[in-house]
Amino acid sequence: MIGFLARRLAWGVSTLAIFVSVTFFVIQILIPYDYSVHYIRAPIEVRQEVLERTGLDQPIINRWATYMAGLATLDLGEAWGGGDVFAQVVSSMPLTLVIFVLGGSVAYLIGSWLGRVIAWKQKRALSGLTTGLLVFVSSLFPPFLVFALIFFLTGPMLDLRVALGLPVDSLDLWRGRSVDEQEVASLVGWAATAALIAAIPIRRYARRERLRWMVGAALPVCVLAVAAGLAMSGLGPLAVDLFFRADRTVNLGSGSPLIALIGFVMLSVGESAFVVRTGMQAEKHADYVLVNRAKGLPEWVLRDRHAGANTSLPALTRFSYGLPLLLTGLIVIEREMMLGGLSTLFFDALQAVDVPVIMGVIVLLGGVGIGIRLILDVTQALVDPRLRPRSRR
Amino acid sequence: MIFALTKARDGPSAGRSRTVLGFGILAFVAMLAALHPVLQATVWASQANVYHPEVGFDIQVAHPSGFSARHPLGTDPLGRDVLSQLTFALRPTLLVVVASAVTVAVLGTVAGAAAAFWRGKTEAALTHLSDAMALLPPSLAMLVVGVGRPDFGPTELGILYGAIFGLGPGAAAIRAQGLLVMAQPFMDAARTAGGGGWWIVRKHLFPHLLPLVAVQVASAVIGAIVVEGFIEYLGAAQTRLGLGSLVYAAITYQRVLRTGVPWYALLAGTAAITLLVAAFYMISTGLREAFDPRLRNVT
Repeated sequence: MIGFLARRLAWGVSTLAIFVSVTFFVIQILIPYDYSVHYIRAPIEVRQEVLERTGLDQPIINRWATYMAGLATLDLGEAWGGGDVFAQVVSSMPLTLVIFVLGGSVAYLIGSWLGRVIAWKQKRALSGLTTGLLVFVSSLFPPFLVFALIFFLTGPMLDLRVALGLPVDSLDLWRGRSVDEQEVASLVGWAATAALIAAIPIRRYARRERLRWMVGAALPVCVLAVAAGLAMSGLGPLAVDLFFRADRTVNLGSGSPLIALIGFVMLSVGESAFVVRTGMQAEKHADYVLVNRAKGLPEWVLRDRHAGANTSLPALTRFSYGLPLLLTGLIVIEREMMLGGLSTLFFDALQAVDVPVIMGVIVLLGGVGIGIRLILDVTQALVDPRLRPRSRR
Repeated sequence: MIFALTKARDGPSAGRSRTVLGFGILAFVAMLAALHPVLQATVWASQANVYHPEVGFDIQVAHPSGFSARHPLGTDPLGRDVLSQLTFALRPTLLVVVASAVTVAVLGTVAGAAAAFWRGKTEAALTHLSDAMALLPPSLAMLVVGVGRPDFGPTELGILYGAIFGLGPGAAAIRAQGLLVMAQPFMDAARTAGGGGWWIVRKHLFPHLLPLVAVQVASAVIGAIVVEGFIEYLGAAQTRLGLGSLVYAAITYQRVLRTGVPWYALLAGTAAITLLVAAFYMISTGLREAFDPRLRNVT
């Protein structure tokens, strides 16, 4: 197993190196931007100094070598506009990551259930209608989707805020607090991750001991426990407000991560439904399904427990290939919602053509992508005996 | 070609009808785009200043307006005819579709087939490259270059998108299918019969990869359509009127001019993008079902 892990890790590192190099050359060659034009009215010495500071006076191959050497020590360089790129990217991540992980999980859960059902249903009309609806929802143009969501959801969201006991304007709640939104967002993110991780061994234990009630209750109880912990720490209202934010200084309804979350789920649910559906259709006519049906197993158990379990890992792998595209969609949604987070950093950098920051964001996405793939590879090898490394034989 | 693809196997009718519907929508959209010069030359010829897609203005109507005989799709807050804008704005999107589709098909097939046929170092190098390219979301790269280089047109952006997708996820999927084909007994037969490398690739490998290439192309262009729309929406493509700029103008100018939401203009741009994306979704999932033997309804 250790040999397998080492091989996968070596593959990950070299793939990342190729990816960064390709991205570097694509961006530097296709956008040959001279940052010193910002100082066009300054004396020539100042422009020369800017060129030296940004490294633009060096040949491209030297810049690439410097960048790769820096990357080895997690140094993504200095932003041309000033500041450390790695610190900037990491500090803008929490909110985006919370929406991405939460929305991605919700979309996968709903989508995989829908995918299982429409693949299993014999009634063509119903599954055709659901497929059509899913295609429509996931094909919506993100800026329009955001506009429509804000247009239709702002009223109900404000009512819900009042019903939850939050002030109408978020600013009243945050004024005078010592914590800021990114800190609360990262706390919520860590808490949700902790709840998920805690639920996994409990569910495994309950499965082994055949305690059905415990299997179902594990995740909700863990989430509730974490929520209770947040509420007791006094951050409860802030954490809730984070999702229901209604900032009157910007457009009413913009700035609500909850609406962004809904938008992101809508965009990604179709993708997950389709990958699960494709897998289920292949599994539907397998011999073991026929045998178990003949034995009298209820259809939903066959669908969700037997065929569903067999298709879940390949489907999850295929879903993970679509994640970078979905993350791009999320950044677009965030920008439209004026949410801050990664989108502000990214689009500001795009506007100013601040190449190190643009590279930083893309490299980070690549890093996340390769991390997810490594985790899935190892999980698959652990779970599927056919893929398990044979060193222990 | 379309019917050859959809009727090639006795696949499930749902997959086949979905593919045909997808192609039908595409044909409709292409027809809309072709309608613009025809209308300009005939119906709108005498009123060029009213029906100009970018600077047209109708002084006889209050803007934005809804359905009328003069303006079947209404006008936007700036007084431009939405039908004229829509039919004109489809061009860059269709260009992106064609450019990215051709690039994905060519690069994906060449890289995927080469990796499947020439095993060993070629396969290792190409697989590694496609793994790395799969990490770079083509949509993000297209967005970055589209905003950074306003002089890049839809064709250049489509080629960039297609190159990244084709060498990345496209090549990986085609290589996987190619390896399956290479393991078939008829490949050994072809080799025994004295077939050369290029001959086998051309006569035996390519025909078996064609259906999968079509699936990859259809799923690839979806991202390109959305990003092209978004680049236009951002106003980064300074000189071109596209579906994204239609949506942008509708959302922005109703705020600025306080005219109320111009649903006709807003929905025209959105519906065109959504229709195109949905058409390619249907084609890609339909073709996948029609060609994957495991997905056929065996009763």
